[in-house]
Amino acid sequence: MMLAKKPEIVILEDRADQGILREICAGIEEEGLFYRIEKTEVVMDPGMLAHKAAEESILGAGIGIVLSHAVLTFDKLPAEHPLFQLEEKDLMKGRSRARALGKNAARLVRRQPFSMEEF
Amino acid sequence: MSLIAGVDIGNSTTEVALADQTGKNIAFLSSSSHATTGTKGTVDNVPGIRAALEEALRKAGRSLEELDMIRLNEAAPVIGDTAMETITETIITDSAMIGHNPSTPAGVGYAVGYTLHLENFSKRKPEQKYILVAGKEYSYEKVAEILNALSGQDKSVTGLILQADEAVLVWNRLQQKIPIIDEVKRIDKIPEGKMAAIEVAMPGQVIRQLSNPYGIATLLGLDSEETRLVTPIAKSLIGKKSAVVIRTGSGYIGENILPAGDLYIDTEELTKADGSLSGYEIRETEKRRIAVSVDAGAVQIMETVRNAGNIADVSGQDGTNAGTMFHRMKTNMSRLTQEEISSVHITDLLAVDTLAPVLISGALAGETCMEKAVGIAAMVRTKQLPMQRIADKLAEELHTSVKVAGIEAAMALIGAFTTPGTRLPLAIVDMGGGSTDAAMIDERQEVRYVHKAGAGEMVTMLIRTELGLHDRSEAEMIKRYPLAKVESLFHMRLEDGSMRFLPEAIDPRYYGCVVMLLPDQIVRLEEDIPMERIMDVRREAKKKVFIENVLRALQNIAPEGDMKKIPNVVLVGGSAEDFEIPEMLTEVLSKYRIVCGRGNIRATEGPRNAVATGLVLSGLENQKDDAGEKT
Repeated sequence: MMLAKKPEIVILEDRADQGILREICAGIEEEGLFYRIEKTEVVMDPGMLAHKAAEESILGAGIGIVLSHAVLTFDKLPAEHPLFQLEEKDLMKGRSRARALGKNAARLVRRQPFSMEEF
Repeated sequence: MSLIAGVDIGNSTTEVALADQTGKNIAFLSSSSHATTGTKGTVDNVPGIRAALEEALRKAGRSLEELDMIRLNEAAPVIGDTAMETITETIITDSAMIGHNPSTPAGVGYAVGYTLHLENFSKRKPEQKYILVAGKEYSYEKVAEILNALSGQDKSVTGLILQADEAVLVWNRLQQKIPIIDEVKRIDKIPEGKMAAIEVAMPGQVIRQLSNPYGIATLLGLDSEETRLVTPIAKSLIGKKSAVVIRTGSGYIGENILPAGDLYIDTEELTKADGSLSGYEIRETEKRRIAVSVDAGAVQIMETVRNAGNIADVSGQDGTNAGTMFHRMKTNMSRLTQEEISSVHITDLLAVDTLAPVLISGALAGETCMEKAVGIAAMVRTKQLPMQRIADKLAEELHTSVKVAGIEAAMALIGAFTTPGTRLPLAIVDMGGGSTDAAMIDERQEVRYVHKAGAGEMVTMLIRTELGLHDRSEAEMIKRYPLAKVESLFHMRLEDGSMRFLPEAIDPRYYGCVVMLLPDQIVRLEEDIPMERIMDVRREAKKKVFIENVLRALQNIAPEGDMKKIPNVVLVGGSAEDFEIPEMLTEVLSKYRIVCGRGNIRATEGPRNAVATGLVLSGLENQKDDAGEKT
């Protein structure tokens, strides 16, 4: 039987800051995982987006990004309690933390300790 | 009817047993324990004693005024200390290596070339092979772009060393794949233009070329002498996922054997004790000094200790590591006992072989090498502790009679005898922090006891050094509590392989980590060490100390030195509550047909309260006639 979905981390984004998005993807890639980016038109807060993304991912890991606000969560977690949040006024700082968020998404799947320095 | 309290002041806890005595009948009412206040054997202990007493009285519904008698223990006058000395050292000079486990290196295999920093990329010569070194100021895209700009025939760059954690990102973008090592923090220390070899292991495996002296010789073209010198590098790279070895010149690389020095064991044997002829007692002793080299290792040292007989003192050879180690221990103990250093005599020692991770001088990224080390626990006899002063102070404060009663070992025996299923002759083993104590009582009520150096503190020290932990309290926790690995946000795998599910998602800080299961919380281990390795080190440390010491102690107190003549051994004290030591001992001692297990004082108290219980029971007159009769 073919897998209906690939083992990917799902990223749902709405007008995401491209720098943040790029860094999150780099973080996931460096840790050796795959991801899929989907644009969404539905107006939702990033936490809800992340939850929706996690439910779509067969790995259970989802990231929601609205503008420069990013959230990482796991499908088994309640929508109101995501794993990590990133909301940084300073965009440059936000981008460097975004790399760590992407890595943590991969580590969630790989069952490795999170990098906590940025969170 | 009178109300009696037995009070046992230990190094860390003060325990109380409370009982009503009517004639020869004793009815135990309650027990309690409180942290010992101040140093054991000083009047500072009084507040702790008082708190423990009040708790026991409250549990029994009685008051301080009703108390008729307090019986205090005569604490064992021994004190212990531990020390560790490495006996080998790896030094690398004029040569460099990096061996570490970045979580995600990229590419597989090895490469050889001259080191070249990326900023000097334009200065490279076309005919040479290079290992490129890039600082974190170059993004992964930039590095990939530079390398991809080379023509397809240009194979001059064979490998890449990155400062940033971006190996996979660069590798995914390369047209010509090469091995890449990342997360090398001190990239500035890598010399330029030197012959270097790098290796990245296959996923799930460890490096094979650079952990093999001949592998290094092959890659770097070394002769036999150079290969011999490079062996310590290969040794310290064993088990790594990636590594770099750089030849920086005709430098010296070697393993130094440090002059560990000799141990001197002074013995004193009574050869003649005759008072029959002249009325004077003639005592002749024979003094001997036995030397044993620390390099010989723990087995040899312990063999010497076993054969030495009555040890009067132990010291180390001046000007060597052994000398310094013993001097340091004696200074420590003289401070603790407030006795002159010249009157501190070590009467027993336990040596254990171990490995300690030591920083390699000459390594680039703070790499360590497991060096041979010897751990020593030593014990000194001290003057009798001034228990009478505590007794006087207590009597004055509480207006009750206080008696210092009996030696601790005898009291513990009487208490331990209340464990269901025991009979005479009976032996107890009390595993404390500094010393392992054993005592034995036979059918004729004769008591023999012995103290051996090395116990819980030694175990903690071994765990700490072998795992290279920074924090002593972390080693202490590893010793005491079982481990688990947090495998998901909702469950952890316990060290026995079973799973525990959590009512709600665990704090992300613990995710994927090895944790220690304390009774009311979990604590994360800071270092990244596999759970299986921690378990191995913990169990080995406990075995090395406690099995060796319990066997030594029981041999000493056994009738005619024959352990098979001891039918039962009851384990008491703090370490008897350990979650695995009692089982280890039960297993080992079953070979000698000895029934051994954790005590259960008065069938209710577990291994605790033996001395306090014994103190109450020893208050009975004609104790000797009734020793066989249980309460």
